[in-house]
Amino acid sequence: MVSNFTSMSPDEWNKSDSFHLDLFSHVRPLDQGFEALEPLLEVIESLSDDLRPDRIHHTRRELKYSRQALRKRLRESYIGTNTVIRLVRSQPPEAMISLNGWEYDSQPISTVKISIEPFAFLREPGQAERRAGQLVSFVRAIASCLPLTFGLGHSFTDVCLGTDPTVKDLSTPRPIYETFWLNVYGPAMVQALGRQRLLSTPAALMEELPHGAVLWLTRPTPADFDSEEARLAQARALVHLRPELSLDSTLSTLRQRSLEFSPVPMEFDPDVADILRMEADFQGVLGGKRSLVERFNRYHPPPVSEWLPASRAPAPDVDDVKATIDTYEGLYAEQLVALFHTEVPQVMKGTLEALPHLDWHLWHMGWGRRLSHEQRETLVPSLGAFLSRYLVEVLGGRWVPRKKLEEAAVVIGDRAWLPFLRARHALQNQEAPLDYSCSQLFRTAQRLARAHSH
Amino acid sequence: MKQPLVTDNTGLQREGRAHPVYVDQLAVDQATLSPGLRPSVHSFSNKQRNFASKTEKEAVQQLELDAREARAKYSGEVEVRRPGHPLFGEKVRVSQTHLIYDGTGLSPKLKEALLRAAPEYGVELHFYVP
Repeated sequence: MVSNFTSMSPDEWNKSDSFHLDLFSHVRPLDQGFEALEPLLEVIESLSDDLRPDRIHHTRRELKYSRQALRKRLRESYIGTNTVIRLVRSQPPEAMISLNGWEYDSQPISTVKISIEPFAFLREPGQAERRAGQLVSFVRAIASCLPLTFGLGHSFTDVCLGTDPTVKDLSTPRPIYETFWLNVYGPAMVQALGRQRLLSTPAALMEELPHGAVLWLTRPTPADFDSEEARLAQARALVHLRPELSLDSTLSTLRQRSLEFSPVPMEFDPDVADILRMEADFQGVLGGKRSLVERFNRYHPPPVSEWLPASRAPAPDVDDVKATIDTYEGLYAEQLVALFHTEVPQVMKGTLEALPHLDWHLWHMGWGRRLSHEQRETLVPSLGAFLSRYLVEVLGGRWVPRKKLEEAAVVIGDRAWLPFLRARHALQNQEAPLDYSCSQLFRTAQRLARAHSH
Repeated sequence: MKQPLVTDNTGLQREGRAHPVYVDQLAVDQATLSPGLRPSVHSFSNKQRNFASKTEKEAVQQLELDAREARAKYSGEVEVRRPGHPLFGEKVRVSQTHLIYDGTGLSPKLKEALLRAAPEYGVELHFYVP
């Protein structure tokens, strides 16, 4: 049984978040050959053990990182005139460092990016300051070998929830839309804002970089980006840089966004709690987890109606009872496993968790809506037989095969369950796989079977 | 595009290849077909990928493979081999290569990460949600 009331830490709530550091330049180092890349590689190689990548990821076959290996496989870095270099870690945390050269609006552009998963890595007690410090040193070191036009370091989810088009449209100078934990402004932006105004921005760190760029932080670490202090720091800095904005409205927008990061208890109907939880986790904070959870907390599936009192269940009317049961179990149920084993690997194991995973998949992928008539007529017997397997094997049910599939039943105690009818209901529209889940029928049958045997 | 013409499974011949390749969709802006103008030609490659339980780096790796393939087959100079097409028999430069993923199985976070990475891999990415 799934625990019904869950209190959750912010990291758990926002567990799909990652930290992104993106630095942009109009110089593409690889255009000047591998030698021009080496100072950047040196910076990456001097990252500490818990961030340093050890694998080359963009090559046809993943390789152990070495500068020599990278140079030898340089040809594999090219996609047309673009160049990609992606280095990753084989050990946790997941970190991906890319050095890419491409074109934006027919202008050359290059990016140096680090993404770190999970975001919680930057919140680890006792390590947060050191890790933040390392990222700041990284930016300094990169800036000394590559003239930067723009840069930011922040929670990826929070960046995406924001409205800043800067990260998609990199032409400069432009108005500043948002401030982040870490900010790098290149010379064009510095000039547009006024160097003195920029340098007097309220900040946790303000530092001039080589090539005319400026690096500044709103807070000492990225860990508390959604806290009241951090939002106040972000808003104050933004209003300083754009005096026409009001502090109150800037702050209230940011506070609103912070709400998305504060966990709402999941109090889901226990019969479908795991299905709803999979959906909430899949969508994540970026997919509006908070309002989803609030909606799911109010949701209850209709009571299971696909059953008859065992005394009223019709007797088998098929010619060969055993052969029909073999068809249900050997053909139909196996067909379901064959159809879904890639997307829902749990169906292969036949464990109890397969049912909610299958329900979620059918619901999430819109199987109730996307099916053609023939597909539906294939899937109904498969799904019904797969559900029946659990009623028979786990709950000790007895098959009552019928010529008309929807009348076929599995008798447990004083009830005759109608799994094929349930399957037909589950596939009738978009929301049906949730409203008529296999999990709910199985759990209802399990409860009644337990009550009956006591 | 002002006057888009979209054709499915359109044969494209690239120099140095023995056989034409068939692009899922080819979109041509007919407003750019007058003499003296450079035709605006966009190629679209549709892919259905299983992104379930993929991490960001695995998803980006998939994007890279698909972008490499799309760029190799449907970018650069191509000759349109579809009889009846306004550009039939002509050599044109593809203005932009697009990649279309089935978006149903992609989490909002992976979608954002891939959208932002795609231009670096030389493609514009879209999600199709049936």
